Amino acid sequence: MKFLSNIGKYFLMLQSVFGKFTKWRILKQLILKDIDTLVIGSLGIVAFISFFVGGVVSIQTALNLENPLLPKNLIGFATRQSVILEFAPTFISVIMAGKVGSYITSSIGTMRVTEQIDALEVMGINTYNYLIFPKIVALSLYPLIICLSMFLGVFGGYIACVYGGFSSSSEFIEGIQLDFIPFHVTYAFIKTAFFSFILATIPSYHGYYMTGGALEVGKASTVSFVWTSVVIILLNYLITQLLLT
Amino acid sequence: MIHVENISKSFEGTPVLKGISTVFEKGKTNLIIGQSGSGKTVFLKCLLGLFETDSGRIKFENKALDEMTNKDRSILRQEIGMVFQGSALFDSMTVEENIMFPMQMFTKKDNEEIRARANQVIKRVNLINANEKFPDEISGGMKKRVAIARAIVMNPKYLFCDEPNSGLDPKTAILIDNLIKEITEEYNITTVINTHDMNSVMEIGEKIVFLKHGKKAWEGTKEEIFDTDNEAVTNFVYSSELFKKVREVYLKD
Repeated sequence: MKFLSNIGKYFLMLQSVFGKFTKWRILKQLILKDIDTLVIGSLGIVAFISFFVGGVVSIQTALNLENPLLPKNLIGFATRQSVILEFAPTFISVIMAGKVGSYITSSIGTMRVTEQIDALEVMGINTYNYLIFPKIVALSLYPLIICLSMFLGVFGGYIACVYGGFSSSSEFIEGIQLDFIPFHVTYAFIKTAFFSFILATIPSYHGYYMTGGALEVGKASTVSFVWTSVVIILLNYLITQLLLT
Repeated sequence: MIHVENISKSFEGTPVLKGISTVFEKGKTNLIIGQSGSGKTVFLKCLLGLFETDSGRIKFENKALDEMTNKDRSILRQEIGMVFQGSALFDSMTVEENIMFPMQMFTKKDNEEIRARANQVIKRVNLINANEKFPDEISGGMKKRVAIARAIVMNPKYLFCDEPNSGLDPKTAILIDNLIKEITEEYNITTVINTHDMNSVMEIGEKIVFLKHGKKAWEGTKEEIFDTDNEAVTNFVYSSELFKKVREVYLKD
């Protein structure tokens, strides 16, 4: 029952987010601040992880191609498919659920614990809109992060493969271009758009409705990470089933 | 003036407020006192509209809170200033930005006018050289001053304070109490203070409502506290040796 009640509360929260809007000059500042913290602040870690995981995917593919009859361009092909279809959109989103999600839950949760949300409510401000809407808008730029992740993932694969001596540069590039289906990129970005909304709203929900003190802020961040990851994985399955089968 | 008529509130079947009625008068410092867990904070949050009451009515200048439209409530909230127990300052903003915030939110004034008004109230609450500091860089007493400045910057009709001097040393606590009293008289506002500090009661209490187990057990003035034979009040007020002695001296005189 509590589970159903939480789902209901989540959707009521979403309704309130798009209720009474905060004054534009304030909202603009909040959106810019959230873009800086949530999007620009994540570029470094996403770039680092994408580059090295792309490299590892490429090396592991190369090491599994034992049959000399298999063409070397399969390394580039497998790296591209893994990075574009799953690694960049889904697994970077799960990583972001830890980084961005925990930040959102703990920052809103701390505001709840220190009565800052009550102070906003007493002033007559729609706190859902004030706190959550800027995060939804800021994370609408999240596909740009995934775009960067796709590029660096494949690039990392290229560097690891070519400089590791697993295939030549031309074979890897040929593999990247092999049987390329542009819809796969569209599919990845459709997933990303849904994930960005999930990344902004589920952690906000856990922060907004938390009760207790500092210890509970930590607990709420953990619960938020778990639920955001679960929803991302389930949604990934559902979208893949709908779009690729 | 705020009229409270027979309000009750419970959480998951546990009654917290039981049929409280009282009047908070304009231009006076009205105090709600009682032990921890007596329902003071819930009562204050009901007055603020942060909690819906189960029954009864709260009227602001004869306008019932439950009959107000969203627009009326929105207007009322802009007439309310609130000082929270932990000050509730926005930690991502400087002192000046915290005080400017309500005006930026609800007025069409330009930034210069807003800054001028903010500096006026900063001066009024005696905050010196703190404009550019963040809340975690100032003392507890200064935080309370900032919270008071933010609460009065919009010229409110009602000022609510939840334990305004908790965590402060006795000297600073008296300064904060006196500041609230002065502001109440100067702006002619209805001030409601939630406290369990008997020094505050003796210092600034003009009307006192005593809560026990969610019920109004007594109400009166600070002078009447000395004469009352209400056992619940005397047990609470004279729980410290100091106040017992004060009462003895008072009654002798």
